[in-house]
Amino acid sequence: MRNLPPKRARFMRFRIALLAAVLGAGALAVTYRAYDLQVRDPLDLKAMAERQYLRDIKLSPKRGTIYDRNGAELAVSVDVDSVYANPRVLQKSGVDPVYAAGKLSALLGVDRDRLIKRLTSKRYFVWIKRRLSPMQAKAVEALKLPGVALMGEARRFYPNRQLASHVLGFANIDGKGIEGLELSLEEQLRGSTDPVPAIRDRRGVVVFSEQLLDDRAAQGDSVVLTIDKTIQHIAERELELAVRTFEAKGGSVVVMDPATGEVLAIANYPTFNPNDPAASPTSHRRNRAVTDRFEPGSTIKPFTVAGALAGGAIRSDQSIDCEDGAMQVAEYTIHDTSKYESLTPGQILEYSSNIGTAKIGMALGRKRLYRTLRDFGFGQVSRVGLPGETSGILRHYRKWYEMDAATISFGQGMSVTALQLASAMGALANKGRLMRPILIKRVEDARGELIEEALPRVRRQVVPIRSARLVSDMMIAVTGEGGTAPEAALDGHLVAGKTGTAQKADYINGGYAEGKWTSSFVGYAPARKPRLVAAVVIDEPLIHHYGGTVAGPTFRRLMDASLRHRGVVATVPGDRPVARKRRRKAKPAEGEVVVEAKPDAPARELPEVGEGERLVPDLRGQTARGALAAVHKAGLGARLHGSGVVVGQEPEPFSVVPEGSPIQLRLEAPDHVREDELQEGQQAASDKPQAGPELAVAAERGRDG
Amino acid sequence: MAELTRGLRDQFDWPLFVMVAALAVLGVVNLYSATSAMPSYLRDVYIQQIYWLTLGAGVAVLVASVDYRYYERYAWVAYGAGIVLLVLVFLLGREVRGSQRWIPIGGFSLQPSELMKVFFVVALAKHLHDDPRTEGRTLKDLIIPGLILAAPLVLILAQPDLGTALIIAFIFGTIMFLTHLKLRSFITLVLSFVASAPLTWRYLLKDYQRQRLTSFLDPDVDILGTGWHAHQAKVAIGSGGLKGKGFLQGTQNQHRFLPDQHSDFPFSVWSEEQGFLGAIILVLIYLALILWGLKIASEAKDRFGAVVAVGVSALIFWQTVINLGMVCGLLPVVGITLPLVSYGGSSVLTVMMGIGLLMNVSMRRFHF
Repeated sequence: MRNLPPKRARFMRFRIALLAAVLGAGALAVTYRAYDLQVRDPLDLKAMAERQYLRDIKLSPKRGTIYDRNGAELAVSVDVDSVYANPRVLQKSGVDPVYAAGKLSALLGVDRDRLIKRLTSKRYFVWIKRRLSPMQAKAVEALKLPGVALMGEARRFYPNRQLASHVLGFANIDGKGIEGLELSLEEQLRGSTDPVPAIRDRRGVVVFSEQLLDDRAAQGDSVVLTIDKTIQHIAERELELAVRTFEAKGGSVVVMDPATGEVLAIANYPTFNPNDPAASPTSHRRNRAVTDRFEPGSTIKPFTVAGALAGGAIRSDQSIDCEDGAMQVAEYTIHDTSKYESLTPGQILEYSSNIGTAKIGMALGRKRLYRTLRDFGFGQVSRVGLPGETSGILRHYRKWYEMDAATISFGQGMSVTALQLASAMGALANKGRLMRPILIKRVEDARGELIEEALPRVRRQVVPIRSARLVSDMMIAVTGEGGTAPEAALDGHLVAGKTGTAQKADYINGGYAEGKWTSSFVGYAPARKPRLVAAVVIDEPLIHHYGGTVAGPTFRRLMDASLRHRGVVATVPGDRPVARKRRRKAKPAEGEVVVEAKPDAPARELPEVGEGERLVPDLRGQTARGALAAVHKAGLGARLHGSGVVVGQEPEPFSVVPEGSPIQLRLEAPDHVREDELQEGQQAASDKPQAGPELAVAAERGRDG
Repeated sequence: MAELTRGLRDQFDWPLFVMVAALAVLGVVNLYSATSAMPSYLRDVYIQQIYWLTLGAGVAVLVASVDYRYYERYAWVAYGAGIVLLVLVFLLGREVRGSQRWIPIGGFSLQPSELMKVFFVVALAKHLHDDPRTEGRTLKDLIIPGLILAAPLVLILAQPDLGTALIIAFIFGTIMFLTHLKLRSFITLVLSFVASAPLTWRYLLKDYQRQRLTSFLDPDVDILGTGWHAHQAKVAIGSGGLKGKGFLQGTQNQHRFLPDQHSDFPFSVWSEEQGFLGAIILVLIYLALILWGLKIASEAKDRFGAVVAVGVSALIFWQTVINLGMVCGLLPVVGITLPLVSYGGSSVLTVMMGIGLLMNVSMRRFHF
């Protein structure tokens, strides 16, 4: 205001300057504050922000998945609910801990007194019960006890139950490997214990950022096995059938690819369900195929013959005097089951002559016999990666007794594992080359990047190709009309193999136990172009004991189905007399095979619907993590309710929503787990038909108490 | 007439225009980022904000083009209309979050308390213009200005809208600061204000307002409840650091930890993403704008123009300082928008109307 008296103007200028000073002070205050918060950052707000969006969810590292060779999941981790309590909160809320303990005890079957003790303690965290069934979790939630809450915990889950259980082993409640590969691969599967970096927004909607999604170093590595789920399934089915049919104590089957040494199946019986290992005795959880050694008997004969042919100790067309069924070696007499005057090496294998083989073994000499068997892998652990593997026993030749060269040549006085037998037989099938057995095909990190890969490796050329061929041809006769195992012959394929019928040693009285046998058949098919080698070992069959009778049919059915599965076409016409008289077993339908071996379908690429709009993916059946990844990929958010696998979602799959909207996901423990728990529940509640009524009854009781 | 128009064009206040335009553009850009993570119906608000700014610019041009001495004549009419609108709020208003502030008009809703700020400034200027004093004013002379303040203040507090009421009171204080008060009167005024504070606390404030104040004084008391806004804003600003996280990269904003980031808390988005340097730039623009307003006031050709310019500057100043103060935890959380940067039609229109008045006074400082 320029038209003012001078005094007034001076006053105004002063006041306006004062006002400007106040303004400046305000601006300064804000600026200083911003400096304080942003640059000096005394409260470490940056870290606070990171804590909010990064570390708010502490997912324990996900244990790596174990896949079969075709990508089928054999062992996965899913989230299930566990219930815990903060006793202090409970006590403060005024709820009587004794009352709460009564309720929870009735609901969950946990000892009431123990719960009272826990809930009246001064602690901040006590477990009530871990790994609840979905119904139990709901019931606990409905109690609405203050300080009692559910927590998602990763639980190891074996979707195929007892399938390959001995190979996989199992992990305990804390996700630590206890047996099998879960134990020996603990380090790779476990992952680091750092929290998985994940972003969640204020309302708890989990939103992975691209960069963080990619950086999942904390997660455990995944393992791809050489096991073929289908062949494993066939092996287990046939083994169980054989053990039951012949009322045997147990048995093992090993199936391998002779060209690569890859183990396609390791089956044992009795077996167990790794989802509930405690339900089976320890003996059922033993991986007999690698931990149990047995006297192989005649199945060793082909290796002796191959060594003798390779070393020039015999000729393939040589006639060997078989002493008419009895031969004296030192103070012992060796018998044959039938009397033979003289046999060629091929006939010796065909009829399984002990005397003939003993002569061949003696001709080879103890040193070279020892070397041969050693070179085929006997007496050594194969280091296939399974814990507790035994080497079997093959004493050094200097420690052999006089008659050992004779008896070891037909498999007495030594012991082997089923895996060693299959692997050694694989060498004869693979032109005399012993392959290193492979079970763990690949180890990949969470991003799918390769960490380790096992490639086929030749351990050694045990015998020349020519010798291996000769023995191979000789072994074809074993499954012929006059051989010891016509039951092992296949329609459409020539089979090379050898039976074994060994009396078990009597460890109490010495010598051999009366009526206890190990019956086996080891062989491969097709004989001229081997694709699969298998060892079938049946422990103490009661009904019969000849290897050809007991193990032969199992081998046949196993090979028949497995070769079909692998797509091996028949090479010889299937009208052989032995084949004709056999009862035909239903072969697995092609479709079934395809379904079983289906690799995990990759997350589908979703089409963009419109600007700013997205198509909701179908997330049902996926694990929480899988669903989150898919949701992120689709440009959406997610909110999880419950744990386990996705059983419901809102909005429905394939509906169109604005980009970034959250998908509500309802998760529950997978059906298999529930079914198991139902069974457990049934046993516990003395055969109540369903767990549902049982729970209701339990809740009822809780109310009365 | 042509000569006059040319003269006016020469007088166009370019610095004022540039500063306002800068704030408007910055506000839209920031709004884009602030709402990018929101559901789609909120994601387009930056476009609506552009509409509002355009409309606001039109209003400013309109306001600036008519000589402000006409407004002087109709000051009481505007004031009266404002009061009527404030009363209408209670009759027609819709309740949002526990308070009635808006009158729905067509598809939009009008916030009369915003408009009242400008009408109040004009009315007060009119009174001071008509009642020129050279000697100091006594308390008795403050009765009429006090009544001019009281009418809208009571109506706005009853909505309740503590923030806007505060702004009007502060504008009043600022203008009165520039008039000559007797020392004794000044002291009495200050004392009575201090004395009334506890009464205000007990009887005038609502529970949630009291909670906001307590959580301001002890911010860690209830971070998840009443302290949430302030705490999250602080975390967002603090995590920005010196240079910020970059446009659209603010985690606290994008993941919606920040509350009301488009309306009352745009500064937290801005400083999280642009860092301390960005924050300084924003503060400097506001400071320059307000000082420019005071310069216009001091060069105004009459008392009415001077008071109007001071009032508009005070409006922008107090809203800016209180908003920034509350966002960075210096002041308690009250719902006050950041001029031109916050989203909101009434807020933008009010500020633009004020800018139009500033321009008007600035352009006509040499005309008699």
